[in-house]
Amino acid sequence: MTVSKIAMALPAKTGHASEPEDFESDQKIVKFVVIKRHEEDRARKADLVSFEAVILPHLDAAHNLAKWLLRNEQDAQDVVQEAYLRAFKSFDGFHGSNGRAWLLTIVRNTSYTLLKKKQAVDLTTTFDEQLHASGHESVSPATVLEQSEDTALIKEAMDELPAEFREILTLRHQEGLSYKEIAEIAQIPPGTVMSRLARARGKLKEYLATRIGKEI
Amino acid sequence: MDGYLDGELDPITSLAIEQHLRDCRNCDQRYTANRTLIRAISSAIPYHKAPVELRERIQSSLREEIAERPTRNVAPDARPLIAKKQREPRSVLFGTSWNWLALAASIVFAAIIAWNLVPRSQQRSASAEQFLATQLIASHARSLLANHLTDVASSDHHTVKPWLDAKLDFAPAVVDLSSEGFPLIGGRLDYLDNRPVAALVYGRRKHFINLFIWPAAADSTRAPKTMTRQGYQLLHWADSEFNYWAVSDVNIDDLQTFKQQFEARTSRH
Repeated sequence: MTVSKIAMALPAKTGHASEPEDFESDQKIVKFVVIKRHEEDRARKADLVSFEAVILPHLDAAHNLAKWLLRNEQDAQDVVQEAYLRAFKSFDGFHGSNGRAWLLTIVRNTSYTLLKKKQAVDLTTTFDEQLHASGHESVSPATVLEQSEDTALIKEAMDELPAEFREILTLRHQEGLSYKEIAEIAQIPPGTVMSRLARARGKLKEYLATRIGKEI
Repeated sequence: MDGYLDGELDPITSLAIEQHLRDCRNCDQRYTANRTLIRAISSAIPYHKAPVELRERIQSSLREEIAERPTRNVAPDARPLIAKKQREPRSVLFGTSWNWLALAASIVFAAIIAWNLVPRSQQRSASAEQFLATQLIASHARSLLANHLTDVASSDHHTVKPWLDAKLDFAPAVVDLSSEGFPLIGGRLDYLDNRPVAALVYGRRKHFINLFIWPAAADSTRAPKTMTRQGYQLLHWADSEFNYWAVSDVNIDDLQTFKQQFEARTSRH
């Protein structure tokens, strides 16, 4: 479909036979619009290329966080796909250098949105910082350590923790993020990061100890 | 204690704790035990890597996004996550002639989009190939300018390959062919055919060869092809995974030898 053929297909502006000048200016307008659209298209594609170069490498981190938060694969994948779309749409506003932290914030927020929807079925109720303080240390860490080679055991224990604890353990122990980065992603003050992490570790150890106790 | 274990405390507090641990047996034991636990947690929690299909799904949904198609192709098992706001329809029906132009432009625009999204080999006309050749020569020439030859300069493929793999979403084989007279000089990122590509730089006596590599489309042609333009030789081939374009000012026989050596060496892997 050439441009001239399109122009010929257009109805006349005023109803009478089209003047040569009308025809030419119509043709110019169509050409202009087409070129403009093509430029926009190229700009969008260039955005996509740089977005993928900067953000796609963090796909595994995004999937891992989503999987731990949602605790099932289908939801995790839906969340990651949704998060990437949202990230792409707001990529213009991303000026930082820490693409991973930025993406994980989006993944985390998207995950919690879905989690809240599923609240009825969730084991844990609303998270209370004090309520979920860990209890006494009856089992030695060494015992727990020996048994913790078993990843299935760890997974079971993790799955029982509140989402906020799973989140902070993942961000610290698997992604190696600093307290400051975790504070930004989880939207809590840095002091809370330290105390929540301590409680999360304690709780995990407790659940592990309980499970090990059951096996013996 | 946990802050200290994570190395996140300020120097003054850290020093105070360190001193206390020297004096207090109990605390030191607890410290050691907790440190062991933390290491165990770090290594024992399983890491859930993303499956390959997810990456592909995401990439195609991003492409749909930029094409602005009003109706999205949804995979059969995908469920709408959060109710999407109804997109406003592209209304072009108000009876003035200006909207006929917009409609016509939209049709052409859609045709351009469709043309660009069709697998590359199907629309590889002579002019498109010429355009690619121009791009290849430009990239090659540009790389010969001062300091633009390599992003990672090493003749060790154990250095070059991981560097490229980390920056690209594909992993081409990298080999050094010094014993055949084509020493590996390094690797470089480049941008051709609307995508990031790998460029492996080889030397040949006093000349350079740029070997551009990027993933092949499923139905791209495999037949090798040579071109000569502006004093440069271009040699193209493809295997099941990648497109290869070797660009250099060395003669075409040397390029053919290079191709043979490269293929022989990489097929062993």
